[in-house]
Amino acid sequence: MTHLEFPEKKQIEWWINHLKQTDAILQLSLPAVDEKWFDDICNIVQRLQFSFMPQDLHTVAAYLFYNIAKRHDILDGNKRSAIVVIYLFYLINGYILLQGSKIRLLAKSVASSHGSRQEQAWLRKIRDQLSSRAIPISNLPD
Amino acid sequence: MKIWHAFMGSKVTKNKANAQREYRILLAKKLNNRNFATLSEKEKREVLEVAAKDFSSKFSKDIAILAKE
Repeated sequence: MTHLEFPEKKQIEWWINHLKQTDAILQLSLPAVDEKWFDDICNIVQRLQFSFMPQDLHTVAAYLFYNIAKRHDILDGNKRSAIVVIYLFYLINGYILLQGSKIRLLAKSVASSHGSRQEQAWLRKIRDQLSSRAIPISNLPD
Repeated sequence: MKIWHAFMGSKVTKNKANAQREYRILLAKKLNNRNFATLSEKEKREVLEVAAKDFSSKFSKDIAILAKE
């Protein structure tokens, strides 16, 4: 297994600041980010970082995406938060995420799924979808 | 009119695809096959700056749609 990088609080703060500075639309439509938002996201990241699950990039990404989009630890903007954080997670592990609309639809389906009984099935589905839309940055386009 | 819209639409898509290609090349140059964790603080910020532009070109519209729901 390759060693995985997990975003630190400082990096998440930089990331949000860069997004807001880059795009006026994002500045208006990103979730409300305050100290509690950072704490909630960092708690989810740390829970995964120190858990005993297999350290495979796409599996961890699926857990991270599911936990942010579904678990409602974040009161407002959990789907948007899941997209913003999962992009950063892939980036710091040398991957780039494609197809925004597909990821948005995935976040919507996950957030509106019922209960946690089908959690494993959802995790497999998220893993499949993310792995087909994340490509190594080093594989340069033709 | 429809043909003009289709032409402009394809031009925008093409420009967007070209920009995303440029961002990816720039990210690859900045990372240079190194692990993100091994970069200096300055280099990490530079990578995040380019990535923010890539994210904006791919996800801005979708984040705005989700914000309105």
